[in-house]
Amino acid sequence: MGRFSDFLIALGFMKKKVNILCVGLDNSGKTTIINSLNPNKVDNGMIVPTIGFSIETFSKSKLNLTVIDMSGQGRYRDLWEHYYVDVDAVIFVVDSSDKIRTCVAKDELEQMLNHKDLKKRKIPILFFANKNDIEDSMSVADCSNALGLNNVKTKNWYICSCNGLTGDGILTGFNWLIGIIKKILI
Amino acid sequence: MASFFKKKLKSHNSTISIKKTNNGDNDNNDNDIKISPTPKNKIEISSSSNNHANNNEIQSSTNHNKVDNKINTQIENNFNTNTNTTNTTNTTNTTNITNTTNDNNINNNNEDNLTENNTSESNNKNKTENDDENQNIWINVMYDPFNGIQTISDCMDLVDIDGNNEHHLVIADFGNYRNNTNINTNTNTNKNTNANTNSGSLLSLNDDIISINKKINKNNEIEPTENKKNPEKKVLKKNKTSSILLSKNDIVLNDNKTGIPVLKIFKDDHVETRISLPDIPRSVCSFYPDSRSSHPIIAVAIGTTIYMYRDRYPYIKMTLPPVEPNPLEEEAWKNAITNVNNEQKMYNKYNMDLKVSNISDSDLSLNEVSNTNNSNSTSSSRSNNNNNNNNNNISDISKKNKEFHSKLLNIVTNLVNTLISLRDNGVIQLTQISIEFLALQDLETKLAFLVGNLDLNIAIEPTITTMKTIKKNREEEDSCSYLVVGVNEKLVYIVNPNGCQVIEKFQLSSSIQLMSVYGLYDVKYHIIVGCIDGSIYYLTSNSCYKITQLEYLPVGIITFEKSLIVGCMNNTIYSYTTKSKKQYSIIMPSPIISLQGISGGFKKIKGYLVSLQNNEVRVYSDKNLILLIPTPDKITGMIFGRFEREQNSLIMITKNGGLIIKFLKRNAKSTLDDINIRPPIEQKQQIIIPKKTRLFIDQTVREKENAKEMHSIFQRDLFRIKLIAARAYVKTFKNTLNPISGIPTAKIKMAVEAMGINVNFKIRLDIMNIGNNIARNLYILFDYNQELFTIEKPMINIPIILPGVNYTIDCPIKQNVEAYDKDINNQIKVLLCEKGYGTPLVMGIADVGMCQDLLEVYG
Ligand SMILES: Nc1nc2c(ncn2[C@@H]2O[C@H](COP(=O)(O)OP(=O)(O)OP(=O)(O)O)[C@@H](O)[C@H]2O)c(=O)[nH]1
Ligand SMILES: [Mg+2]
Repeated sequence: MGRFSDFLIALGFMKKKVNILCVGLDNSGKTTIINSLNPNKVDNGMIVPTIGFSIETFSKSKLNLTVIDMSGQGRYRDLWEHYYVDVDAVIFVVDSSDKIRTCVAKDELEQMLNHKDLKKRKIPILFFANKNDIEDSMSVADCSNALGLNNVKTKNWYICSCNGLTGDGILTGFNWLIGIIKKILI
Repeated sequence: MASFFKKKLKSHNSTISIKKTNNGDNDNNDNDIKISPTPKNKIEISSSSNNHANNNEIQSSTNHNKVDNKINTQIENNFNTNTNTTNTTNTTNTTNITNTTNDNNINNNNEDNLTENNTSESNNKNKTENDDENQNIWINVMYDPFNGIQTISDCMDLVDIDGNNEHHLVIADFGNYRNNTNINTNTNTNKNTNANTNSGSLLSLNDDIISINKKINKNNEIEPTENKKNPEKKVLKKNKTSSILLSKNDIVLNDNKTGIPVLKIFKDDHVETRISLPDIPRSVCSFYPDSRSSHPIIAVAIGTTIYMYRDRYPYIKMTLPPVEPNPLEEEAWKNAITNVNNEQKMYNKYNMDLKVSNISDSDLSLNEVSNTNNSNSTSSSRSNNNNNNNNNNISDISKKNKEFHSKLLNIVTNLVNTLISLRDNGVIQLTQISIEFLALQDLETKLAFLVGNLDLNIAIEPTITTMKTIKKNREEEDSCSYLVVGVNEKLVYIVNPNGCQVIEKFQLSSSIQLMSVYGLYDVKYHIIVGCIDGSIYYLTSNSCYKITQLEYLPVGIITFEKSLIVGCMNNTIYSYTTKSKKQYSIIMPSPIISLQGISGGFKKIKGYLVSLQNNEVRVYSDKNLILLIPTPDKITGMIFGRFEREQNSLIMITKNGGLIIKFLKRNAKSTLDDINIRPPIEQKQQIIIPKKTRLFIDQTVREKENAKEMHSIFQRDLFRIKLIAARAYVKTFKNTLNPISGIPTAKIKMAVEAMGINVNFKIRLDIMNIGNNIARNLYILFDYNQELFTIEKPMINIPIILPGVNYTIDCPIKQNVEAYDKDINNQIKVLLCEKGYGTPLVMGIADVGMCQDLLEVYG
């Protein structure tokens, strides 16, 4: 399949650009995760809270990815919905050590799923239960329960635990996402 | 680190702490920091079994006293010993009960909780079904009904303790104070008197008793002086029981880890750090001491002291400067004390001559005093006979004692008299110590207090009642702040915690109870203060005035830039401008428990929270009700703001110790803003207008057609009414029935009132000259039926009436026997006349009811 899709891309039949929206509450580690995926970024250890959003483009697994890293701060969350229209996949990052705010994350997730631009579309959602290195953090199952993922039946989703700082687990989840995207796009 | 605490703690006089080893309650964390008072006379009893052992311990000691009493006291003292025994048994009983009921209470509470929760939940359902909006606005994070926190809004804060933008919840928990109401009041009074380390009346007496007991235990061979100690105990008996109760309750407190006041620092929804507090906290604030520091300080106001914590550790302890007493009052105390000292010296000298040991202590002199006072010198001398061979000496001593005692009594009465006269003059505000001293029961206790506190200093450290922060010159959260402290001693201080100096001081007329602060200290600020007498003051850098005097006591105050909100005990919220103009009032459906301002993302709106007795919290913006939050229980403490990383969180503490956390949804904010801009909901409600009836239409048609006629008829009638009114006026004027005389020379007002319902009446006349000239040569005449009434002085001369002064004249009137069965109207006319004029100035009619009905009833 790999060679075939390369061929298609070369011929211009396949959409080169894949838009991925990365959302989640503030401080959940969205920027950290995206940076660890981004081969162009040098890890300088300095990650500041994102203001508004930032767009990263890089190619991975022979796809040209445009990752929109949204800010998770309350006052910027209104911006999320503007990108729902032309998005191909969503990464939802949850801070599994921040138990008290999982209900906020759940609320935001519900709002997103019920948004008119996303409701009808079959978009894969990748959940990262980030910061699994922190003692006393929630397990993947707990996270899934807390977010009420069992009730998400209309979308393709996958949840995996990861560590944004070391990169553990990120690729597992990301490869799943790439696989789905490729399936959909072909 | 704790050294600075220790210094203060030494001053706490005595408590008995008991360690229980079998109790599993010792689950305190490693980072426990205790500021419990380390007692001077520490008596540690470790019991491995249960509380009964403790009781026995104490009982045995009290029994011991009792035995001693029996040995030493004679027949006259029997009564006393009896009461003593009952007292001791009482105390042990009561303490037993408190121990057991404590557990019961907790159980009961829990059960109550459950039932209440059930009912309220069903209520909730009804309510929430009604307004979906409410549901959508909040994310219910958690509700833990059994968290066991007891606190008020003032003792809650959200603090970014580690400077990493995570605002932890900080609560000063009162502990299990409702089960221990006794000690709280006790310790509070102690605290008051103990403000001066030297003064504490109860505790020092307690000390005395302990020391006496020790002495008694030590010297069982009875010396004559030792003998006399025992009656002293009877004098102090009242105090003694209370002090024993106090220490017993202390035990209960220390037993139960949840019972003592604790500063709780949360992480998310669980307590991360507990810091034991020495007493019930009054207020908790957090602030940044200077602009460079990233870690805030938590200040806890307890009694007279502000304890400050930084990075979860004690940092500084601060007390406000003592309130200087009035020189006259100070003088009186000084005199009394020096006099007592002198007398004591004389007395001691005499005793030294007698070579009787152990009389140097003030305790002993006190004890001598009470001994002689009990006038059982014969009995004591008799008992002395057994032990001391020197009869002469004894009688001499008792004589001397009597003399000494009477001298001391003189001093005390002098002091009391001067203090009372100072108090009654009203010019001087006595210090708390003097007031409490005057309130002591009898001279003997007063004497005991005076003699026991010869090193007394009546300059009192003010007791903090409320504490807030004020930012210095920047709005930002981490800008440096000052503390604003209101105290019971009618003062408001602005304190720079950096160096602990008072920057500004306001003297008010009443005890400060509530406070709210707005603005920046360097730019423009104001402090709104609510006093215990219901007055509201406005304080700012260069002015200070009273905004209003409320009829009902205030419960909470919140101030905004130009206005303030006061919640009062009459279920009403009032709004005033800072220029003392009343704006509006909102009536609540049930009593207000607490008021809390909304900070954070709602800068624009004047938002505030009101918690009500009927289990709901209301969010108001100015006068608009924005939200109604039904709660499962009564909310005693609440705070709105940034919690952990969530901007708009509402944290509430219920009366039964539950913890509720709610987050405001992101999109709710805009709806709230909308609501605020929208006109109030009431405006949308349609007024039901009845349909136009046939009659109405006919009427309008008629009015259209005959407009002219109707107008003229109306005008004519109007003039008629005016004419009738004018005539009536003239008539009253002629008869001078008008209560105010119309003669230009003398304007006099007279009110007549008949008082009494029996045969003997009284007519009270209130006469006032409301003109500017002095009225002379007036007299009062009574016009009445002489058959019916007897009036001793039917004419009263009034030589002069000065303008503006109210003259009250009472005239006794007796009803004659003939009048009893006559059924005629019996008015008494009162005429105020001026000599030389024919018509009276004023006339009043007193309608005196007949008493025959009464006579029928009573015979
Ligand atoms: N311990 C631990 N810390 C992490 C992990 N991932 C990220 N962090 C830290 O979490 C903090 C926030 O990370 P960001 O990537 O800025 O979070 P964000 O979601 O982009 O935040 P906003 O841009 O404000 O929405 C940073 O200090 C990271 O170092 C992890 O797996 N473990
Ligand atoms: Mg970011």
